[in-house]
Amino acid sequence: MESPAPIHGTFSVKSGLAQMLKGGVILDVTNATQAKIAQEAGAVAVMALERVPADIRREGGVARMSEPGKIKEIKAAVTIPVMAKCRIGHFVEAQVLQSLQVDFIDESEVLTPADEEKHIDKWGYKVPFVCGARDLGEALRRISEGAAMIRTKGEAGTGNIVEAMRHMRAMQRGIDEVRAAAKNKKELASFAKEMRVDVTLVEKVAAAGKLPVVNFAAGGVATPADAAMCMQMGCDGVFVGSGIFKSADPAARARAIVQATAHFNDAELIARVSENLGDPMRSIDVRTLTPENRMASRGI
Amino acid sequence: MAVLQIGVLALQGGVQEHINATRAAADKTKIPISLRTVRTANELAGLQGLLLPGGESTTLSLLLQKNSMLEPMKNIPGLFGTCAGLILMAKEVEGRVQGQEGLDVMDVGVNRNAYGVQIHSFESALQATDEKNNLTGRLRIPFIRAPKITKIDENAGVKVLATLPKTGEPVIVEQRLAGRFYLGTTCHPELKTSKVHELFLKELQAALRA
Repeated sequence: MESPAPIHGTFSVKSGLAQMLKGGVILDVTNATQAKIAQEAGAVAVMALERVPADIRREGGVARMSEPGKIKEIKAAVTIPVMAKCRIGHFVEAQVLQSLQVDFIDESEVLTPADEEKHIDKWGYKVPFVCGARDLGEALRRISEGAAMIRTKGEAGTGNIVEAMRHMRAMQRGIDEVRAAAKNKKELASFAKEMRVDVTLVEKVAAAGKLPVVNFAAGGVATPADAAMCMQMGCDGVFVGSGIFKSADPAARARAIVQATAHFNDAELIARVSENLGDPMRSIDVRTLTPENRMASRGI
Repeated sequence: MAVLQIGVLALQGGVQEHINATRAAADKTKIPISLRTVRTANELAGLQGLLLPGGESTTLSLLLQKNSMLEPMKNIPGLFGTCAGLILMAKEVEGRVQGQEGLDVMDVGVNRNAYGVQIHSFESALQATDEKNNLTGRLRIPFIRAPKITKIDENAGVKVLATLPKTGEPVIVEQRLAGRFYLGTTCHPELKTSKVHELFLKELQAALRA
């Protein structure tokens, strides 16, 4: 007989929350006021962080987990799930975030990596993790470490969708390649070796034709049309970082992006909600970024 | 047999999971259905049954209000809501945020996010109130930041179908009204089984025939 007692923190409970966030928009916030604006605009969750990526780029220095007092303040302000970022490999920041009872942890390249050798072993936590990935291999490595949700890395804080687009295409290409080799055990094994993951994981992707967890777009989303493009590319939902609170009218832009994400195939609606939103965030041409200023190449 | 017109509300949440479970349920029960996703008020026209997936109830409510969908949805004879979907159907909701409107069609009370934050989310086998009608067997069904059913109006025809074994808290409830069938769960059976969807199709078909 199975025990009738409820079981917490299983993978289906962790990935289940990600499934319930699908079709939604998750907004970066740094305080309670912004969190309330996000909830009122229809965000499915908020992401607590110390500074939005655009400010991290401008100010430099080490970007860390948000201060616990701020996270508590944000949690008290909203009823939707609260996510928070920790540094890549910083397992104690993750422990702290779990003790603060955040709903999801983002082990994020947007913060300064704490460990250049290893990511956090995410299996040991009851709180689910989301991680960034640029391609299928990166995504599967993070899933092997216990991630319950994947997002593209894009290039955060630029307001430029080009890198997220590159990562969505690379992910799809990887899935297509593995799928084409679905009947060839030897070829799947060589993919697994190349990606440094267990072959059973590659077989799963080959059989399903998609990642085994929910996959969101992130990094560079600045307009309702950007968000809808990510959805049409097959992403399950959208993270928006600096794009909201670095724009002229955050509440209006957040509402518009929520609508455009839900109705991603309706160009007339996207046109209507995009009217009179004021200036978007100040943007950066990704080609002008020097390698050390690219966040996406951190923690691969 | 007439083809049942079924929709899945596709604005936000676990939409694909409900599509898969409904297709599987139609295959198993041999009930012919026409299934479509629904994002606008126009797409609601002619529906006999609508599935309301779990997701964020504040987000769903806002999108439904913006698209003027709440009123036309009240006229659909069959509604099946999981988690946030049940919150939308309930007549009484504790913990609703300001401006959050629902359908107010089912005679139950729910408390939003009553089980707490994500680390309190869990999976559990369910206890059927009638062993002959055990929908989920020994499967463990996920409860994700789930609401609690706090009130049931038995006089209005609401019946508990399953509870949590240890606490006896109701987790699957139905309501039969003339020509209508409502089904609500605080958990997510669509992640594990099509059994609850099978019940929905069968009972909706029966309610429409009566």
